[in-house]
Amino acid sequence: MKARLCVVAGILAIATGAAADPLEVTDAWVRQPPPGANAAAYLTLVNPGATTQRLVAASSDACERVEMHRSVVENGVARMRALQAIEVPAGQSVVLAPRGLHLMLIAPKPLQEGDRVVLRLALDGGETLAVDAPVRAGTPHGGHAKGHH
Amino acid sequence: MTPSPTGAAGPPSPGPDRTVLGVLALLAGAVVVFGVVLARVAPPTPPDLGDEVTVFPVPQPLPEFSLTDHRATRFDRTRVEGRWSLLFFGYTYCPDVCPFTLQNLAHVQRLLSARADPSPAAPQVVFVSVDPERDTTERLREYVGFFDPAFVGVTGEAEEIDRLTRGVGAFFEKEEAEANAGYLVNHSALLFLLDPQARLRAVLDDPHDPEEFVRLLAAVQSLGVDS
Repeated sequence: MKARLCVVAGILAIATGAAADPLEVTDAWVRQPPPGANAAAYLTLVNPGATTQRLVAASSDACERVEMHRSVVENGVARMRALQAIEVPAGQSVVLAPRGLHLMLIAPKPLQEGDRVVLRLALDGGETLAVDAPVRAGTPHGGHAKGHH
Repeated sequence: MTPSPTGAAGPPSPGPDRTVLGVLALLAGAVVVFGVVLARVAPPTPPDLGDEVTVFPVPQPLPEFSLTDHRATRFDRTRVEGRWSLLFFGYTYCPDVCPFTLQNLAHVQRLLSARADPSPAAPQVVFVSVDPERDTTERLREYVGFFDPAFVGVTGEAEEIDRLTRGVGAFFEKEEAEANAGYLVNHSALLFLLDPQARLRAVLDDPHDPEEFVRLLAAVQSLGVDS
């Protein structure tokens, strides 16, 4: 898929640790789910360090549970796989974007455009990052909202 | 798909005799004649629409089926007669590919309704659930309406859904779920375009570029049909 994820204004990625976070999180957002349906969260994980980092779990108060998934569309068929971990090699970044890697927010509470969801990302080293992700109504196409500020 | 006549053109052997030359000439003639006949009989080659769409030169009639729409009204073949329709197969539990596609389809519909020239007519968008266990009529009502109030959501007996998916060549399979986890369903991510005679006319990639999709759609709808 073409890299359509462009820089979105007004993204906040707040890590709980201060100086040396093992992973930096940018461009986080949650797709506003239809009533009663599951939501997906997208973000970019940047590893500025010298060792591989692994995201091993995620959670949020905004939903019952969070699973890590990868969608693959191949030969016209969409498949989704649950992942045990998302690995970010040293010095690299991994993009979670529509039709690819994503966090699946299962049974979310009602979410409106403009709401903010706090995602807690657990790394295999024991650290937890808190990420503040705005809820967006839509992506006309690709991974970005239309109205840039 | 146009079969390309393959000429048996090996390097000429030294000193071919007259018989061989004669046979070659006959073959060449046959190829030309075959080509002319083919050009007359075969449907006109569709213009090159790229690899994001497969057009059926001879549209495929849909089988009979009986499902229920999001308003609890019967949805059968008559509901796709007299108008163009785009079928998308998915399930409401899906958080990524299905909302992404439906959102883009809603964008396509907005582009279509904003056209100065409203022809060819905008197709009705039909979301067919491949997860009838979880996708009830009520659930679909909330779901499709969220994307576009004009979208039609369809569910029903698994057997009847099978009939429709087989009829257009769509694919789906339920995945085994782990304990305490909701199961997932693998499904076609393509869009199936039906003509107003309820026949499968083309299969299109999902509209990740709505402007391009609108262009492709109009091109397919304007193609002649070889009946």
